[in-house]
Amino acid sequence: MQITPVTPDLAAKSLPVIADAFANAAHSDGHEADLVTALRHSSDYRPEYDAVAVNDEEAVLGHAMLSKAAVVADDGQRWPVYVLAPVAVTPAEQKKGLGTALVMYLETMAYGDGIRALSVLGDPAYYGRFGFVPARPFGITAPYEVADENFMVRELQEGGLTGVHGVLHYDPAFGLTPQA
Amino acid sequence: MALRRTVSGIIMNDRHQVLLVHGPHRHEWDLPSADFEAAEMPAIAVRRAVQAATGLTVTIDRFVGTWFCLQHETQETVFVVTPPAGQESVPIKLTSRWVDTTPTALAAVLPAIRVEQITAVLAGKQGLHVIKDESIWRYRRQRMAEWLHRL
Repeated sequence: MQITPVTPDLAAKSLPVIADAFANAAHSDGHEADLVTALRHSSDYRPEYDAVAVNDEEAVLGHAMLSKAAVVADDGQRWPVYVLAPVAVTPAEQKKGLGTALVMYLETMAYGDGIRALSVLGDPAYYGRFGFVPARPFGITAPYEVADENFMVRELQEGGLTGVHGVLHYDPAFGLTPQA
Repeated sequence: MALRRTVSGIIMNDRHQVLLVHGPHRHEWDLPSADFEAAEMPAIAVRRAVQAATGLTVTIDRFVGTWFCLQHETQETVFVVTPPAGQESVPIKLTSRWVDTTPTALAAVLPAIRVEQITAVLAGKQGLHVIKDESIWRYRRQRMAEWLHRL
């Protein structure tokens, strides 16, 4: 098995995996595969942040991606960050650590590019292990109603979020307002 | 389980041998390696690790790859590093040794994943991102076989 940025072929193969992964998920709107397709058409899309885990037969077992976003303060000042979403693993391969490997891979890529911070919406018990912490104490808020503990950020550089505050503006593909 | 990130440096000499170290806290020979924090550049961490284990101030030759070990939730990042000219004649410490890079010689002293990493270098591979899905039983069996082999 290996992790690789998507090729057009792997990108197509990843979509049913993403749909399957979220088919029985509690916090799913059932549109994660559509979201990924929309993110792939975004002007800020970066294929190197669109990663799949493939086995030796080139079957896609998992997928995770980062998309560009911005924290925007009241006075209009903005800081670029990246959003980790969605993370999907095919049901038969779940709970084996594949998602963890994909997240670590993306973190390493983002870190190497000097990215300031990542944001994720999810379970603190899972994402806390990577160093994600609630965003609220930084003064960073979500553009939707969410429990503080589920809306998390992670600095990729020491002091990466010092002085950063405002509302997170997602890629327009998320269909949230305001948009990045 | 805690996530763990390690970084290792592969130093080769012109006799097709690889440098292994036997650190004070280790019971086995291994590549010079160290844990590193997520907020540390692996290319810097590997130079620190090799310096600590061998005393050599190395330069990065190339990034071999990362190995994600699912069972142990570790991420192993591996580089080929080069000692400064004139210092290729290490080992300079008693706790290091050169080992031939034949599959048999490597397998006699190193765990399978290290053999795989060094073999990847010999095959000229770089920029790999490998997932190792070792079930705990397969892993234990392998460790036992390695242990017996060393007796």
